[in-house]
Amino acid sequence: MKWLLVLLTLGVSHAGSQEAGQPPQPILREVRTDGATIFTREDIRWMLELREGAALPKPAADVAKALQEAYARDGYSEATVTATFDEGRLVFTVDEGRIDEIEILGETGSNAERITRRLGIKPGDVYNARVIGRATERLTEESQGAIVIGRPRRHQPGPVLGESAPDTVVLERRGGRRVLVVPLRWRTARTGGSFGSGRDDLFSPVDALSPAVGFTSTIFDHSRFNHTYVSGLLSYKFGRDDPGYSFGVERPIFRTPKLFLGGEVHDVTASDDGWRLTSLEQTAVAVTFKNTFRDYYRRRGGQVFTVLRIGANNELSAMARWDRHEPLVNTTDFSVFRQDATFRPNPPVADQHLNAMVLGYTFDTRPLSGAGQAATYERHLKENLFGHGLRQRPGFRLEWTSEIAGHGLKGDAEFDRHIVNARGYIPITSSTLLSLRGLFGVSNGTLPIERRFSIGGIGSVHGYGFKEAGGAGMTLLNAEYRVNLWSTGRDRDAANVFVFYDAGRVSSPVIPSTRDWLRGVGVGVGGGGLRVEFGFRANDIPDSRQILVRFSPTF
Amino acid sequence: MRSFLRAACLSVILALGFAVPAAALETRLTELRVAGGGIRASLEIRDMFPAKFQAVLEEGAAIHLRLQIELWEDRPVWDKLAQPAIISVFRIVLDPSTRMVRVADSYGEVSRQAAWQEPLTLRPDLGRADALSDGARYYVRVLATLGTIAEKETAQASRAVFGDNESAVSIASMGKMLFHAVLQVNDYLQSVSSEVRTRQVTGKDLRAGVKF
Repeated sequence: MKWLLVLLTLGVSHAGSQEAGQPPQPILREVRTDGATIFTREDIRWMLELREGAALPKPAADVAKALQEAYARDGYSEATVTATFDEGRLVFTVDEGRIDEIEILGETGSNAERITRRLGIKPGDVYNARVIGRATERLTEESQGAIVIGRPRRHQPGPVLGESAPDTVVLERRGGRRVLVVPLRWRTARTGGSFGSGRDDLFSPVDALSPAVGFTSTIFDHSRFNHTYVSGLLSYKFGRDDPGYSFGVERPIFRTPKLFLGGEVHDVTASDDGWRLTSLEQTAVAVTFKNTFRDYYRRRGGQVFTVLRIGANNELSAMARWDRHEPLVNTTDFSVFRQDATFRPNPPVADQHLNAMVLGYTFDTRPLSGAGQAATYERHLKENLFGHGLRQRPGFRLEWTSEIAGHGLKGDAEFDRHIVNARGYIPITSSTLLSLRGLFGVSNGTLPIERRFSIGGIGSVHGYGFKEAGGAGMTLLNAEYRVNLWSTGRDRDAANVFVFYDAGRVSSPVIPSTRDWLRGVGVGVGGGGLRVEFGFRANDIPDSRQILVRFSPTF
Repeated sequence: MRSFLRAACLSVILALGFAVPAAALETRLTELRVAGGGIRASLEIRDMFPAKFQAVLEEGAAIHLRLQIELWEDRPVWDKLAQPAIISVFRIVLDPSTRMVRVADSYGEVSRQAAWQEPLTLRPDLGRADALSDGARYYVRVLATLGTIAEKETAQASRAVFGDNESAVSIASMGKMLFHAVLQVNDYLQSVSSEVRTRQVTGKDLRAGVKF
């Protein structure tokens, strides 16, 4: 019986080797590599299933091909691998495709050097299509689209190569050297148009429907990326049959630190309540439920500004404004629902010239947007002196503005108002975010009604009425703890639940306000860009329930 | 009543805060080392093919793996992103004739292996090695999301329907937002995610190579 088993076993083994039709592979004693730095010897042994002491799984040439494919899969598409097998020793000879030289087409001299530095690729690096692709994408992004990979235009610096120039990044072999050729194509400008609400709310009680046509243009500077940004808007306010406009331009000078210079003329419907809720929310709530959470005034005039940007995280700004503020009255009673209701009356601001110097500082641990972008221009305009942007991503942002009206700039109003807005977003665990805000305001002189500090309601202290307390100064503290139900990179859109606490008080209150602290608490759910907030006054739960449906976070 | 409400709210928040995410996707960063002028990471991704994704692939559709890899420098107050985050989107399809699952990004195929075989091994480059300081401490954070719709596709669909404009406040923005929200919510219902953060290592150790 034992013999039979042995014979059967031998028979099967023999049949197997016949089917393969190949002579048995020799035994592998040792693996050596020459020139491989990307993969270690252990990596290679694991990837190619090479076991010292066992048979070589396939001929040396095939094993080399498999390793070259592994290089190519990881992006090292210029790597070449050969292998020799001698007396049990498998030796891989790898040429990983190191870059000897970098040539930038379409740029010369110091610009070419600067772009090479920006690319972050150096001679001696191993060519990797993914790394190079990401580097060139980053360059295009950093230049705001001024430079793209492509055949250079005729008017660009350097020799005119015409159709013979490559239109993609290539690694050329010149003699014994490998030259990474990066062709750069300039774009002259980027222009865009828009139709919508522009600077004003698309629908408001004072303007009714206020559609605007907009035009923006970024004129590219290819050497220092000091792009000029131009923005123009023309609107028509159907409620009061008035046109509105704004036209502005900004341009940075110097390479670093950048100094932006800009200016704007405007006739717009303005509000100091931009920090409470977004324009989209205000429009939606006004047109659907005849509610309004903004006090409006007409702002006509101009401003010039300069912004010193130090690194990617700091901006120091100075601005001079010459504006006339005029009162606006409600001109519509339209809404989809609540047709019998009326809009809250708009406060009667004084018709006066308000000339002011606005000084400001912004620090953000997350890099600020660069030249030639709408976000940068809008931030520099300081339309909202309480702070700009809503970025609930881990980081810290500090904004300070001081508006000094009158004095040397004359005008009818004389006051100064100082605001500090500090916001921090701290991820406690991978799926939770603690958001904190401290918003502080003080003032001297007689504040115009549109510059008065006020708290209560949406965007400030939940559970209270809109602007329940007003005065010459304010302290507002907000905390929100959010738990994402799905852990994801796009965490702002992730489904989440949250709990919040608000506390605020005003100083030098105007009647009937008091100096008492307003305190609000609540919970909410969010996801897909929508939030539902259930807020209460801390001392009146549950009777003071206030439900808010929002498209953006409170801060 | 008031205390009951407070207690109820607190219980819900605490329960959710300590809840283990239901996501099945598992991401492991196995190694960091310097090679070819760059910092190379080795990633293993497992549990990529639950039944619902197998069904999607069998029907001939694609699933997408979005990887966001961040190299952070640990600092006393605010940690600093040492290199720009690497965001890659891989398209995963099943070739019905060969029963091979192909994984590719915009630069080409990164893996081809038999259906439902795991793990998927990726070796992304995190940035230049000479940006590392020997004395500084670093860690890597990886966010992986596997879903049926790539973010790029939702943006493309949104652009196709509502156009492309720079303004944040336009008539189209409301439509865009709702459209995007619907696609996102749909994607969330389908997607699984995982997040991993390595222990801290010094720049010096990282240069020499670290296994996790």
